[in-house]
Amino acid sequence: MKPADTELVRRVKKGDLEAFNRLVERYQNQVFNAAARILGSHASADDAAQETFIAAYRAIGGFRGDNIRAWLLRIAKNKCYDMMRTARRRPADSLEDMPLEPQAAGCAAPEAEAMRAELAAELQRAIMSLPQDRRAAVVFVDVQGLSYREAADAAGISVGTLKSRLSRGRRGVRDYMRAHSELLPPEYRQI
Amino acid sequence: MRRLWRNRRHDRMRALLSSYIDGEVSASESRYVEEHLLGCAACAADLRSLQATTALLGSLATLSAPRSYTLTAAQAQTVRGSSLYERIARVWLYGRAAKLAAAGAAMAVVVLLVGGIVGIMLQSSVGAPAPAAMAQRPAPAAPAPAPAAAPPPIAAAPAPAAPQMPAPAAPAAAAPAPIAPQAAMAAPPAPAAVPTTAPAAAPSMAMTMADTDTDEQSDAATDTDEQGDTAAESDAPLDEAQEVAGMNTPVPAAAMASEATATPTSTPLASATPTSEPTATAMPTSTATPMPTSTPTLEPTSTATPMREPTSTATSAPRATDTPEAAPTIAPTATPEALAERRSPATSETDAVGVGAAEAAGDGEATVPAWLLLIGAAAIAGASSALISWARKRRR
Repeated sequence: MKPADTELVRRVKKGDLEAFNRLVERYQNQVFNAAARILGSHASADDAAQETFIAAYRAIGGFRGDNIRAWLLRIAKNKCYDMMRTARRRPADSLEDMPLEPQAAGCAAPEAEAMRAELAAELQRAIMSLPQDRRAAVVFVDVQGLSYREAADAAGISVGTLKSRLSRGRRGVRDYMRAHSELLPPEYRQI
Repeated sequence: MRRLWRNRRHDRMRALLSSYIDGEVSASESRYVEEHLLGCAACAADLRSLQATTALLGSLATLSAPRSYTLTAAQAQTVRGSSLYERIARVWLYGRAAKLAAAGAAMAVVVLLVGGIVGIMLQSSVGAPAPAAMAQRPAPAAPAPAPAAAPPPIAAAPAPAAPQMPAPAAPAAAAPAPIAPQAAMAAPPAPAAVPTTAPAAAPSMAMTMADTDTDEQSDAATDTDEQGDTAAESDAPLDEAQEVAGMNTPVPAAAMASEATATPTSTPLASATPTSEPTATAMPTSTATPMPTSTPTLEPTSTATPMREPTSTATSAPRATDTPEAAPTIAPTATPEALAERRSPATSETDAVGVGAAEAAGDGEATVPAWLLLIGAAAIAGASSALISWARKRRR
């Protein structure tokens, strides 16, 4: 039976590094995924995730909430914003690198897989076209699957604000996809 | 108008559709959306496109972390260490502490400047003569101790009279010292007053009494009682007597005026007593004069004149160990009236002069520092408030 997050957090506050590493293993994929979707870069997401857990270990003594996942995602979001700010100051440090979508090896239908990868890359570009606050809302709710309440906690905003940002973000993605519909397979052009 | 109304309804629908997809709307909002969608093809199409977009976004694969982000013990140690270091660095370099330190440094500079100015002014003002405002103070205080003094009038009245002279003079002119010696000389009983102690001791004792050592005063009180001369004057309240005693202490000019061999007592404010004659050897004394019998009420006055230096060592010695008879000679409680009776006209004149000078000196000491301190405090308060407001603004 897996110990609850609150129990692990309590142990971490007492200095239990193993408990913290269990939390890391539990949420590192979600943290990395959110960072990668927000940043659009593997390498940057890797750095952001690493910094997120370091910062979490450093600050967990002050954690008073009951949702460690939202807290970790919030740290990750802030790290991503910091990196985007840095990237804007130094254009040479572009966040773009290799495509995010995993390449399926030995797929039975390579053509379909290529179509799917192309769609995913286009969706990622649509996400990247959004302002960063809407981007985080879309990633947390539509990509990560968080509830509105949890996503609002992760974004550090109210639920009402999240709804607004999410609505605008979805419309932004939709508009982007419509603008690039000729690149999409026919079944995805009805958007 | 109708078009505007329709646009407003569509705007509201747009705001609700996204949440409606996720079921994050209230029941009333849900009904409103459904009713609107039935009659609005545009909003229905908008809903479908949003649903498709949401489905596409949801189809994105969850990316796996390329590596594990677990921390080793060494990393954890480093993280904790660096966190402390970083916090300290942030606090000291960018945080409030830097602002507070700057404000504190500025405050220290202001305080030092004000303190220096006050000190300089204080030093310069101490020697200068001051107004004679204090001259008119009521003198009756001196007798107060007398009533308190329990011991009955045993000693010869004349003997104590000499020493008492200074005490009353002190209240009147705040400069008892000068009067004391003269009174001692003028009053015939004075010499006789000190039969047990050395004759020279009498004036010096008087001076010390004028200075108003509590012990001495108590002695004097007992003495006065014994004398009976001042007994009648004992009506004056003790407080006044103490006050007078306090006033006496700073007066150096009186010493000048008085020709008495006994030099004026040097007060704590050494600078204030330039006129005092250094001839008098330090008498550790006043403390030595034991006055258990004296009323405790007099004790507070001792603080006023802690550093008195009675003139002759000879007198001091006997006093310290003196028998009760010796103590009486010191009695300071004589009231102004008593002094007037004992004083010769010449002495009274000299006294007046001495008193004026003494008052001047006393005033100078008392008022100037107070003003400067007030100004300094105001300056410090203003500077601190300005610094605090500045720090708050900077923080914002």
